[in-house]
Amino acid sequence: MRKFYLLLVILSQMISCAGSPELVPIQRPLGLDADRGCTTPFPEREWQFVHSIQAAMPGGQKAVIIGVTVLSPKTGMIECVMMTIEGIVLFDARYDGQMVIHRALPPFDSMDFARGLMDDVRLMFFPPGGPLIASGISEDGASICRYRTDRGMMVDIVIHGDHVWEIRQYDQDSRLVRSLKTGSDRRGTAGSQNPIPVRLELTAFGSSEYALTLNLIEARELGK
Amino acid sequence: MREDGITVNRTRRMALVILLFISGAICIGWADTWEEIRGATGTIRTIKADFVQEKHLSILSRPFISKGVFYYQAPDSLRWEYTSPVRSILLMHKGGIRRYTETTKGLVEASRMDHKGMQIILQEIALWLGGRFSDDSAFDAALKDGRRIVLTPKEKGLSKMIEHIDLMLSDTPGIIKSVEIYEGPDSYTRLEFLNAKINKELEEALFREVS
Repeated sequence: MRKFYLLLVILSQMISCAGSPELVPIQRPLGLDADRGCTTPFPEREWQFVHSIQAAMPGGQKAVIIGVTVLSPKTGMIECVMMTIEGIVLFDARYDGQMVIHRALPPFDSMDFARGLMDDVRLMFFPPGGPLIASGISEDGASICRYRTDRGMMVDIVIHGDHVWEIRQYDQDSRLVRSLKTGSDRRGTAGSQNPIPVRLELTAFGSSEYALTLNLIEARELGK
Repeated sequence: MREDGITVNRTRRMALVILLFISGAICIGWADTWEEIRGATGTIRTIKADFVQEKHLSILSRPFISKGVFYYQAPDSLRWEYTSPVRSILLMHKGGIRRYTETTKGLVEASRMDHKGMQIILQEIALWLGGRFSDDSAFDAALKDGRRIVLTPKEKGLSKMIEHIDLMLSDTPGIIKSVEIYEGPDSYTRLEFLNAKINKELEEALFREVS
């Protein structure tokens, strides 16, 4: 009976790992000073973004909501509002060293949700917080910069030739936990160095998988 | 000659004053009591109108604007359609509510209402358009000066979502000019209705199908 349980545990581990590709090998390593290009996807100044967000949740649930994000890369401040297309605010919170939730309607009324959302926003818009540990070229010719974060995770910034870039976040066991891909369309905004990607696709792997497709409605540089 | 000019001006002014009184008499008096409102809305069979939705939030440097069109057929059929920036259609007909939203795969029907709040608002809109404020089980209605109606939630659960709603009635009897839905001091949604067409024939399919 014990052996049967052990087999079940091993099987479930194998299944949970199956959807999480492991760390992509760097084929041609480059020096650690070759990461300048890897910071280009991230905004340098304070921005306000409005996206329509297509969410595919576990169990086949789908929803489209509007997301408003204000972020300050210098201070690490993030403000997020999620609302229905009709304008009903479902979630409103600010992180500026500590989390302040202004409004959260069920099922968005947990601290875990708030933390997870802020982590996803940080992954999308802020450079990884940690040292560069490797850089190089992948098998398909993309440039990769690999960072180790202060939480012991690894983050790959992958820049493809067609203006598409990816961010891959791995856990301590080198399993992919988040993947972010941009589309190739960009929207130029007056005064900004880097055009803003029109589409972002975030996929979360693991026990509660979900996928978010963010389409840019409005981008505004603040404090100009 | 000069006297004639003065007389003409006086006559014009008098005509203008009379015109203002007449137009005032037409408009005033349809929204002073619930009975008058019910009477005015009772003649309405259908409405088609454009709407502009402004979302005001402290986080937004300027309001977020959405636009669309709605169709209403008495007593409680409603098609609430956003055309920009995200196409989305809410259909309410014969007690059923369905939502369709534009995705990368085209217009897709939501598996269930995204949120209970919108279901409440849709049912409310149908009640308001029918002038049935006293039938409202969710909100208490108070009639204020200047063709304004203030709705406050009856239940504490709903008041967590919506603080109050202000309805401004139009000069045209039976028509709502604007709606303001207050969620809190820094967050409200303003809906303004434009180009209202009353009692034109509407296909029933509008309330059943998205295309």
